[in-house]
Amino acid sequence: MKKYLILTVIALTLSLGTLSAQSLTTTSYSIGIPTGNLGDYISNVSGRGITFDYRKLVQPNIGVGFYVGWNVFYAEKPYDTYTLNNQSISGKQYRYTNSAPFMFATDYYLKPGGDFNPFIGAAVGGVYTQRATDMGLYRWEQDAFSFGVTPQIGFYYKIKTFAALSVAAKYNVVTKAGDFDAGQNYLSINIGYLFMGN
Amino acid sequence: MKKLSQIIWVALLAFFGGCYPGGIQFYEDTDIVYTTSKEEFDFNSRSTYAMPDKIVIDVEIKDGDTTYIYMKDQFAQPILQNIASNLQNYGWNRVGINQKPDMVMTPSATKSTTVFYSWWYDWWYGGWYPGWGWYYPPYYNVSAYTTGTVILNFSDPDDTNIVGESPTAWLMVGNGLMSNSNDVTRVTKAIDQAFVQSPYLNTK
Repeated sequence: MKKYLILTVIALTLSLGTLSAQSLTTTSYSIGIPTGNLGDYISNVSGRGITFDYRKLVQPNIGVGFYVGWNVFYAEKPYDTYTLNNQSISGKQYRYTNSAPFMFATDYYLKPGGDFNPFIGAAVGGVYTQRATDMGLYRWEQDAFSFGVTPQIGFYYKIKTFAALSVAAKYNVVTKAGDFDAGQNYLSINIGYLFMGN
Repeated sequence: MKKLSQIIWVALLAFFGGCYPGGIQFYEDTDIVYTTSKEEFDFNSRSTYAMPDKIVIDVEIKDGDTTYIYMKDQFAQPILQNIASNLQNYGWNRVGINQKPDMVMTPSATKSTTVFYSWWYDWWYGGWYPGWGWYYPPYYNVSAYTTGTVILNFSDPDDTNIVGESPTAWLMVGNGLMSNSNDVTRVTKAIDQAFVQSPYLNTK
């Protein structure tokens, strides 16, 4: 009888634990890998980034919420000559791109309640992109607020009752808009701390 | 959990404060060379040029009189020699201004200082002693940078408009942040680069 009672308490605790995890909040360090036009402009992988994800679990295996982030891309170009028609300019260039997505997001969890829980998801919203090119003492700036779609795949691994390590790959598709005549896409690898709240 | 979130925020602040991307580190990093030419100008049909032996750095107009201020010879001569040797390498022959040159090269230079100046008042209470009260010591924060610009203007003296001005056939503007070392090689390197990026000046 005592054995059954202990098992029941454990089962109840576990189920309460699962039930009480009604939201997932993740803060991640984000590594940015530029692709396409952004990759042509700055090819360096960026170690400067942060993402913040919040999901409300509307079903044990479905979370809806938002995704915001900030990735900073930077490249120092060696002394070179840039020519346009009958004009040429030479100098070193310092290139910067800041990308900040603000999106609604939803995820599907393959193993809700498990310690190891893979998920796939997608986010839709806006992305603010700012590009600055410094040459000499001059700066050229371009910016845009674009439509963006971000599919993601990842997993979280429970390290405590209400905490987990989260790893996710997000591909930020940032459509052309404003001063940009091409999309400013990048892949981000996000490693973070996930908190399961009520 | 509150403590943990505080630690995360402090870590994030340190992360972004410490990892902001780099940029210009040395005076030379600010050097740029810009060149442009008049479209369809035929440099190959011309072969001689004249150039003054001084470089104008300022113009003073006083009581209707115009006075040119020239760069010191110790800086001007290496620059002028550099321009002459670059033109010679491209097949141009230097002649006097009275020998009807095909082109005239007029070098000039300017400097400009931009001053950032901000100030604010702080205050402290000195207590109610005679002659004391609210006290407003000023705090100043001033910074400035000076940029140097070298301009080479290559034009055809026969190609004049109604008021006798010749339009520029080739223009070079070199600009950079000035250091205190008066390093003239930064200017001569910029001029070398200007000729490298303007191969159409080569008449050979």
